[in-house]
Amino acid sequence: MRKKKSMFLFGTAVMMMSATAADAEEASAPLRAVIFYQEQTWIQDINIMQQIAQSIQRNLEDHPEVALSCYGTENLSMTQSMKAAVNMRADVMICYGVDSEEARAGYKSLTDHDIRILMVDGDVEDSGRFAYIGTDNYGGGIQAAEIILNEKGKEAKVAVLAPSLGTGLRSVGARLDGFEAAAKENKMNITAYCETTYDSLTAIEKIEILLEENPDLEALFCAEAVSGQAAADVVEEMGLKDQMMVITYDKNQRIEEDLRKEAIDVTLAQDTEAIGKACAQQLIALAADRTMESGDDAAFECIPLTDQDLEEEEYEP
Amino acid sequence: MNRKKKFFSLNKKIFLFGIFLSAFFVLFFLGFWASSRYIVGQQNRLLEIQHQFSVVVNGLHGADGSLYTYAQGRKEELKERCGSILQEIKTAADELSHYLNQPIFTDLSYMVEAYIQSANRILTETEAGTGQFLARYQESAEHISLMDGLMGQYTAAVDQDRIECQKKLKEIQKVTERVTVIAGVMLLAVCIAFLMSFSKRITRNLTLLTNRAEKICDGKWDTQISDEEFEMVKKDRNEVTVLTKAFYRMLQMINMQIEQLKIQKEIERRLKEAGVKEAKMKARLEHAQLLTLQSRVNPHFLFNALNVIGGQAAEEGADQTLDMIFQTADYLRYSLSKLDKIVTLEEEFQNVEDYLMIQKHRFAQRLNFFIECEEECKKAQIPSMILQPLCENALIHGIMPVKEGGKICVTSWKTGEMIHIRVTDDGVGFSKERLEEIRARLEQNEYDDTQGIGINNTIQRLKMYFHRAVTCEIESETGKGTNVIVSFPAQMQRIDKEEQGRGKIW
Repeated sequence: MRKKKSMFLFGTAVMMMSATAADAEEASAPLRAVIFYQEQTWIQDINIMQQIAQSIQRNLEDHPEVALSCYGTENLSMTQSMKAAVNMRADVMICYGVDSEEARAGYKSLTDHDIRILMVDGDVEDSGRFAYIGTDNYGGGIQAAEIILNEKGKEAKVAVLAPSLGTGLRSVGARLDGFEAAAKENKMNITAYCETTYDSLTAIEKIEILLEENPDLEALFCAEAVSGQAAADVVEEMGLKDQMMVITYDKNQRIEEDLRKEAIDVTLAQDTEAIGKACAQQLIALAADRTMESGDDAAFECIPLTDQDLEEEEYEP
Repeated sequence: MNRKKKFFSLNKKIFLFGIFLSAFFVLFFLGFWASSRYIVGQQNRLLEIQHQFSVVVNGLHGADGSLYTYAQGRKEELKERCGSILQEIKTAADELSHYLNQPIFTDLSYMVEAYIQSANRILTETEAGTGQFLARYQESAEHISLMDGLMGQYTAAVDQDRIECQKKLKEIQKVTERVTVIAGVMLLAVCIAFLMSFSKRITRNLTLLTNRAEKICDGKWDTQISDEEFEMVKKDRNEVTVLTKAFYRMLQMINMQIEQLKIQKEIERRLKEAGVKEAKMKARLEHAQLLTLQSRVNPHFLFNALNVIGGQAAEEGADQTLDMIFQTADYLRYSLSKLDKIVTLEEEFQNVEDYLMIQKHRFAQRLNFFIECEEECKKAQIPSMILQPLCENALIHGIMPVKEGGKICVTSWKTGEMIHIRVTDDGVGFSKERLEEIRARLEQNEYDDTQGIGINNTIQRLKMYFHRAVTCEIESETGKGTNVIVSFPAQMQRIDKEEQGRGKIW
């Protein structure tokens, strides 16, 4: 009888240990997160998503509980990247907010496959995203308006340059919304709208036409970096640096050069380091508690940069 | 306080050094083996990664083509081939994920799995003939398209891993080379240091030993060991130092014994000197005794009286009396002039003849004598007044007690290096007891000055002169006479030359 009891206890102990080992193994599997960004170096050396990805990677260095895959591709669309995330059985996808039918279908596919969406650089609130950690783009628009107002006054003739809003890029949209709201509040003089594209050559052409048609413009509000760089090229080429105030967004090597040349007067840089850090913290928290339904949103202010704010060191992508 | 060092034999030192060398080589080779194994392992890993990656890349497109072909022909072997390709791709993707512990390869593994599921659907539906091949094929093509889109990333990651791995291997190789060189140099230095120290310690002690041995061979036994050398020997405790110390100790003991022998010799020399002095003193005493002895038989006034009597006899014409006086005078002359001198045996025999002639006049027919001195004995040197006492003894104790008288014979002969003198009488002889008494006195070797000149004194004088190489044999029998034989060394040259210079006494 005693022998049977011992055998039973031994068997139970073995089973418990196996179960514990299995649980431990399951619990020890890292939280797999993916992030995709465009690697179009012939336009700009590094874009926001890439900066954010690098920042997240830095902040996750000592955290093996989160496994982050960073994919820099040239031709992969956002929809395709979402499909890839589904195939990869990722736990989290970090992406930017696009308000389009295709993008929403992608978000739904992700949530259907229990893939949490960590949205950065533009928010789509009803996408089912887990959290938004990014820039307060609406506030960034307001900041830009205030800067122009302070610099040029409310009578200054301002042109708004942005890619087509049909792309659904929420960051640009939010900035435009903020800028327009601030302009309206302050009764600024927005005299022209120019729909640029993400193709810089096309953007340059359109801006040239804009400036030819509106020679008395005093400020160009560029809602994103491609428009800003194109505007800087045109302004410099046409010799309008002293006359024209160019304000744009983001910080990269090209924009820095334009700042130094005073082709761009102000850039409202996104605090990618803070965004990356916040994203990393969110991922760590999620890795610790896989049952979390939603995370903490965070919106960071843009950081206005002029040529005086730039360091002597060369920009390193 | 100096603690005695523990004995550490040379064998143990060599053994320990051997152990150290062996351990060093074992460790070195273990390290080298581990390093080589790691390098080879990493290189194999790189090759394996390249292989698996190429399987995935080529396999995806191969599978795509095979699926399309199968869908067209539906051949069983194509299906099997598709299946095996898909399995290979899956295995390769899993292996990549295992080798390259990066998240993107886990992603790839899942993507491959998703593609395989899609491909299997194609196979299933093609087999079933549902007509959904095209839709499924497009699905699978999307998968491949996605993976193609990301393949650059995977390729870059594989290349990056390869570059880092090769960098690491190069560093390891460099470190291995450096460690090898440093270890080699250190080992060489340690070996040289050990061998130098070891051989120096051994050869130093052996050199010390050799130098000492050479000096000993040259007869320098009084070699002192310096304190410095001894301290040097005391540093180690091994076979050679033990031998060296033993050698030094032996040397010290020998030196001590030599000193002791010297001291002993000095003492013996002093004792011998003391003995010689004593002997000399004794000899002088004996000489003085001899002179005193001889002085008892030197009657100067008798010689003078005889001269007067002789003159008177001549005046009266008493020829016989005159002859007697001349003989007596000769006898006395001899006695006076030769008293403390060394004379020849011939002279002694002449003196004895004179004495017996005188006695003959007194005893007439009762005394007869025969005297013969061998020719080769005549020059023998002896003290004076040796024979006369013997003859006097023979006369007084042998002949005179016999009424008829008797005969005295005095002879001498030479055997080897000894002279023999025999005085024989056929008189009354001695009894056994008396003979034993006389012999005993002779044995005691004592000078008895209360008994006058007798045989004992004669023998003593001879012994004084010849330093005891003298014997005396007495044979006697009652009624038959007595035979006395005195033997002494044949001395043909005078020992004491001072005796020759003395003039006559009278």
